[in-house]
Amino acid sequence: MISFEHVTKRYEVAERPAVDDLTIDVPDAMVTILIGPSGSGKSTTMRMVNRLIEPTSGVVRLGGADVRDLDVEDLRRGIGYAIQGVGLFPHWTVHENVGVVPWLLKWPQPKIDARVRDLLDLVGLEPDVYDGKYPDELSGGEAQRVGVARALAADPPVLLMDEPFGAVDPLTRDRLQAEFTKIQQALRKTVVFVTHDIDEALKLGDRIAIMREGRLVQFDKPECVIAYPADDFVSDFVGSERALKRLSLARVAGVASETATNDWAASVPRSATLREALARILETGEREIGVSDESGNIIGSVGLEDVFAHFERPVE
Amino acid sequence: MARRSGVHKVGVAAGAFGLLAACALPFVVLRSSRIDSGVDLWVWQALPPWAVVVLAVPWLVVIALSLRDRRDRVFAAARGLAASAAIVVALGLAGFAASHLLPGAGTFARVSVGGSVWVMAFFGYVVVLSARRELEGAPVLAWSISLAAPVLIIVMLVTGWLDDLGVMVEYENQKERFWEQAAVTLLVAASAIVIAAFIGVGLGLLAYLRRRTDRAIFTAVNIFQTVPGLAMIGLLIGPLAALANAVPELRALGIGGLGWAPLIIALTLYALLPIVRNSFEGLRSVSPAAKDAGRGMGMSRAQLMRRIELPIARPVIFSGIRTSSVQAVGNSILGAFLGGIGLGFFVLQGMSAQSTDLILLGSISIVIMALVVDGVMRLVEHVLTPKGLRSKEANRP
Repeated sequence: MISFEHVTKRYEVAERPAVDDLTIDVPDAMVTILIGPSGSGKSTTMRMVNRLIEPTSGVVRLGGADVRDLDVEDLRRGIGYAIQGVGLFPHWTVHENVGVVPWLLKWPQPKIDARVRDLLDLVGLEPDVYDGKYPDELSGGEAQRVGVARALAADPPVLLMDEPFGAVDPLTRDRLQAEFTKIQQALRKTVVFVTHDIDEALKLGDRIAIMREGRLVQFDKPECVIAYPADDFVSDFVGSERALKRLSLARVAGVASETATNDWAASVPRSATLREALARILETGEREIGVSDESGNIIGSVGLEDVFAHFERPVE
Repeated sequence: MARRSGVHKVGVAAGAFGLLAACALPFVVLRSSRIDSGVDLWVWQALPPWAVVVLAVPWLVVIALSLRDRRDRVFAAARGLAASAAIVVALGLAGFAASHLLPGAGTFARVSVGGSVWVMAFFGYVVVLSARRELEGAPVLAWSISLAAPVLIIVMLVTGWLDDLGVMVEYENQKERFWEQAAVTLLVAASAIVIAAFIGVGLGLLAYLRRRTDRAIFTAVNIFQTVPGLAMIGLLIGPLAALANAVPELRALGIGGLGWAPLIIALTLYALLPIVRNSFEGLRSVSPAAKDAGRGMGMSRAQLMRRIELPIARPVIFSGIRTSSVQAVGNSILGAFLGGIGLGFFVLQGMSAQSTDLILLGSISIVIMALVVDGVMRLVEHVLTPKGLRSKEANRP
């Protein structure tokens, strides 16, 4: 749906281009993470999709069309936009904030009202409580939820998100990320998501594009980024705990084996990550522990051997 | 938080100074004629003993209420009311003293309000203001406290209780002229503010939208602000007189080197800086994230300005207009030098006649008008502040 073809953005004052000959096909209905240190051009890249920044050369396409051929306001109204610091309008209620794009699209008021309530529900804010509140009455986490609801308001197929969970405490961020994953599983939007946090990228991304000094260094599935970093920069960026991060991307369900006995000293749910399973194994001192299903019945086991085997298996 | 001291410092200090002023400064001045330098009379000379007690009681109440610093609305309100009572009683007793001193002092005798009344009024006002600040969360109560003294003073004026004071004698002599001049002052100041608001908000917008213009714009408006009042008028008289000579139609409209035209122009130029500055800063205070979000969601430049930037900046812009309005009323005194336009007329007249009371009539009424304009504009400002921004309102100067 979104593609960049040899896109370069050059600012007159800067020595090197902010974005340098970027070619990338953003897959539909997936979360594509743009990640890199500051100055890597990730935000610039994202902002060229809705023409907040225009490329110096190259073409950005949306659904096959060059975005420069589209009316800039229509283009933007058709793309969900959520940013760091949220940028809620302080003089408007939550209701008015969430309903802004439908209002710009001249939806009839009853339709807007109904839509806003649905969206507040979706992001976990009780509509009757939050509808009439003003932004300065919201906590950081609530404001970011409203920001996400606002981006989803006109049900756009594409979402641009620039560190939308940046300014909250780690606990709230974990919860927002989990809820975002759930919403995305239901809605299947094409999401371009900018972050500088590798853990967030691994948690949320279907694809990760790692950028450095305006250039694309690696564009891959999260597992492959960890298993086969393209160069030292990427492996540095992923960090020293690469092996553990790889374990957190694999589910116990994928490696567990059926066993005759159901008698284990400890167990983990099959939805747990391999990393959690390993932690449990180390805690209990057992070489192998049970795996339970959603209702708590033991359905198999996972052991140290499975962890090693996981590493030996190639990542596709 | 600073350590809380045992006493309410403002209340105790202002109360003590109020009492001190009552004793240490003359209460009224008795003159045998309008221009006589007069005899100072102290409280105990001007008032019977019971009245001296009445004068002291509200101050003692203020002090008593301030001995413990209770962060309590009821105490703050009571302190504000007692201080209002102190102001009203001081002024009322000055009127009472005048009524008792005048008979037997000669046909042309005048009784003027003395220094102690003014100083008491000042410290009373200090206590009222501090009470207002403590009542921030209770606007109705805060407004009642601020209005208590003015309302009672108006009652005294209307019922004639103060009629024997020199200022009121002067007023009585030129009643019609007074209201005429007051209306002119208000009209001139209002015209200047309307013109300055259009130009000022326009310049503020220009400085905000075309960043390279801001330096030139602010330099120009700052220069106007530094020109002293009389010099400004002097500078305007020449060109305007020449203009009126060259274009007789303008002269027919009343435009010339003297009169309302130079006054309105001068007041407009002075009013520009606060309006331009607040428009510019108000627009700049809109968070970059909100502007980015608005743009990114597909608002046009005009929609962003009309729906987001201007509404968020509106309270700050209006507070600049309010500052300018109060200044314009004060500066209107310059009209005295342009052919006696506005209340400044009485000040000039009083100076040439060496009549303190006449000067007072002009200057006090300008001060009162400025205070009233400030109050009314604050009310409008509150109404104009979007609901979501009201919690920040208290932080605005």
